[in-house]
Amino acid sequence: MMNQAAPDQVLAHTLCDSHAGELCRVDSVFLDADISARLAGLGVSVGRHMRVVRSSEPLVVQVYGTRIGIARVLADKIHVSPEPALAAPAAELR
Amino acid sequence: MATASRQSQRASQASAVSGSAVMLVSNPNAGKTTLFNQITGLRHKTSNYPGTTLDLRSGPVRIGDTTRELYDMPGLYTLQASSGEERVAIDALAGRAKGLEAPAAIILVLDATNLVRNLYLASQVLELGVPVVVALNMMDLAEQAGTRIDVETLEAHLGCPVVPVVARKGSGVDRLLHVCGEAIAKGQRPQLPRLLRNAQPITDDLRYRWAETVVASVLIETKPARGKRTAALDAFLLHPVGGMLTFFAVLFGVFYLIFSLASLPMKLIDGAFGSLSAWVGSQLPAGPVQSLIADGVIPGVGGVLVFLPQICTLFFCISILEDTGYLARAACVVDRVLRRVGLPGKAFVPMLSAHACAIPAIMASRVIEDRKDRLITILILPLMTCSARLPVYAMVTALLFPASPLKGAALFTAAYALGLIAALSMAFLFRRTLVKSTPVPLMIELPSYKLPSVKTALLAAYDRAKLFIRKAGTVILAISIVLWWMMSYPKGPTPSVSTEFAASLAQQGISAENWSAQQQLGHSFAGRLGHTIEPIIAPLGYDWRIGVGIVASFAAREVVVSALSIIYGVGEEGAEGSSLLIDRLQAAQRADGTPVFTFATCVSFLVFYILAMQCMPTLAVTRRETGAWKWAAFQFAYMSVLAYTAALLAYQGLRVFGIS
Repeated sequence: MMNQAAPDQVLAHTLCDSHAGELCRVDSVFLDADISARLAGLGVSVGRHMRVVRSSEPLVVQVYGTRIGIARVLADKIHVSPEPALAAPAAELR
Repeated sequence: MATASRQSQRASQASAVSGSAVMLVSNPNAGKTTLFNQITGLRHKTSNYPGTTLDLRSGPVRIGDTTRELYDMPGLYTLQASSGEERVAIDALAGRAKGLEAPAAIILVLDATNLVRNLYLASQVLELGVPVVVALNMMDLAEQAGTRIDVETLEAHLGCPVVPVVARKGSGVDRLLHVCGEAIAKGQRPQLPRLLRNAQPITDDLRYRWAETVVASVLIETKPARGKRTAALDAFLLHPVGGMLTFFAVLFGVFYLIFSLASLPMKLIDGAFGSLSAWVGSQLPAGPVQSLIADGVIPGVGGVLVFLPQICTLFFCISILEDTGYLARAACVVDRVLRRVGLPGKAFVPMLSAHACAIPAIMASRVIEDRKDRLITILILPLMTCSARLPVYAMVTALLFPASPLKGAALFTAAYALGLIAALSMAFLFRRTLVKSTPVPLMIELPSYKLPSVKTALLAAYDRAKLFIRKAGTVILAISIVLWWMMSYPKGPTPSVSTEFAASLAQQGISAENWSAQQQLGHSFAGRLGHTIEPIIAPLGYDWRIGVGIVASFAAREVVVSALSIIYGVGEEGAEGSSLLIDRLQAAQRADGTPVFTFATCVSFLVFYILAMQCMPTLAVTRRETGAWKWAAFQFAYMSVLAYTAALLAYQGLRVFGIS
């Protein structure tokens, strides 16, 4: 995920751009290996679906039933694509 | 992707080792420590993992016919982290840790209420090639939340035994140990799930997809999930204003408990050591040995152990707060503020602890993963007002505002604030000079709120107390002996007090005995050093007698009050900041007849003690936690310079404004 070319900046939508209540899917994570490994352990990694619970500082997302607080400087490096509410798997809410 | 290949390499290495230990592994907040406490009870010990700051709790446990050592590994989210405590734990699990037995089996605790993410870690643990037994914890909570887990199907997916347990109640523990014994006897290594076995490399995405598949097939939903309470509480506790207010309220509550709950046991400990010292003094024949034990060792050790009740109370509170889930929210709230001065949000637990004692605080700074972040936190922790400074604050308050509790309270608050402001400023400065990096940004799990476990909190307090005694105890003993020697030698001529002189002393309110003690201290190495440093400390408004106090309290700041008591001829009894000592200090005069303790001198003295690093045990702990004497030396040097400069500015500044 680290080696992928950065997507077109104009189209990039980061976790920071998401609003509270929004569902999204992680497309890519542009952070150094140790930080992305830790985030992956918390459930924030490529392909995961999450709901943005609070878009404050820190940003709070709900992923696999737990809430994770993420500093906005990190959230800004996590690219996501918004998901329509119904398309999200039920696992997100568990 | 290099991590993935390293993983498989690690797995093949690990399959060669077969140790005797059993290691408990899980995500943080999955109930691993509760399970550990259930299994080992009070029989556990905390030992340092050689060459690191990692303290491992372990205890004997009967598994099958063998007694094995059960290790409580630190909570892990991933086995791919390359730094910090986690790295060490990962090495230990793979049997590559020097000086630590390799695991014969791993007990993997999975939180039934949060299965997908827990299975992500499981996918990495299964790769290690060590027999694994899964303890499926919090089954009761999962059922309350409306889910049931098909244990047999889960076993089939994981390829290892799964035992449902409720760690809080201890149910399922016997069966867990039995199954663990069987797994070890059979040498049952888990078979990597098919989805993962054939993949090369195994990506995080794949691990999560596998976890989702497993959960989809084992989870039986009985009623819809909820979580409104957590959301509502979070909305308030993470709010920029409401969260901050709650944080200060909680802080105030913890401080209140530290000072109220702990005061009675502190008095008892103080009294017990006082009586012990007197009793030993009366039992042993007079001489250097009696003096060493009764005046050196016992009061020295007692003077530090007296802080034990506060440390226990503090860690009891922290454990309760952590258990409820509040601590993670507090870290989020203060992260916004601390980050501005270059400290990570997680530094707040150590900073809170430092208001009781810097030693456990420095040890608590291990929660900060990043090495640089941790170093800066450790360096500034001793600036926070610890309990040992309180006798000095009390003395100065009594000197300056004997009749005004309100002004006294204001002075106390100002003293606390100065320590905190100095700590934050120094962190800011170090971030721009010493360690030029920004703190690692916050990423933290916000666990569901739940009722705390008093048993876990009591055990946490007990653990911290033991650690404190062991870490501080050895150093304190050595320091007490050196200090006693400095204050007792060389012996001056035994003064013979004539009846007339005794009478004139008595008129001044000094007993002949206290007068001798005063003369002896003046004659000792400490007394001479006081004279030697007088030119250096004169610009701060101090005379040689205060110099003796500073020299005597060099290794432990609280000693200054009793040292001043002796040097002003009040005897040891004045150590409690009694009115006798205050009267004597107020009456003290310089050679030219002007009072010693003027307003400016008092303020300068207070400022000095707020900022000075006068605690040898703390330096020893700093060395241990940073791994280098140079950081301990640096800490001592910068705090001494800071204290001297600030006291100088305070004294000279006040004089410029005509206040002396």
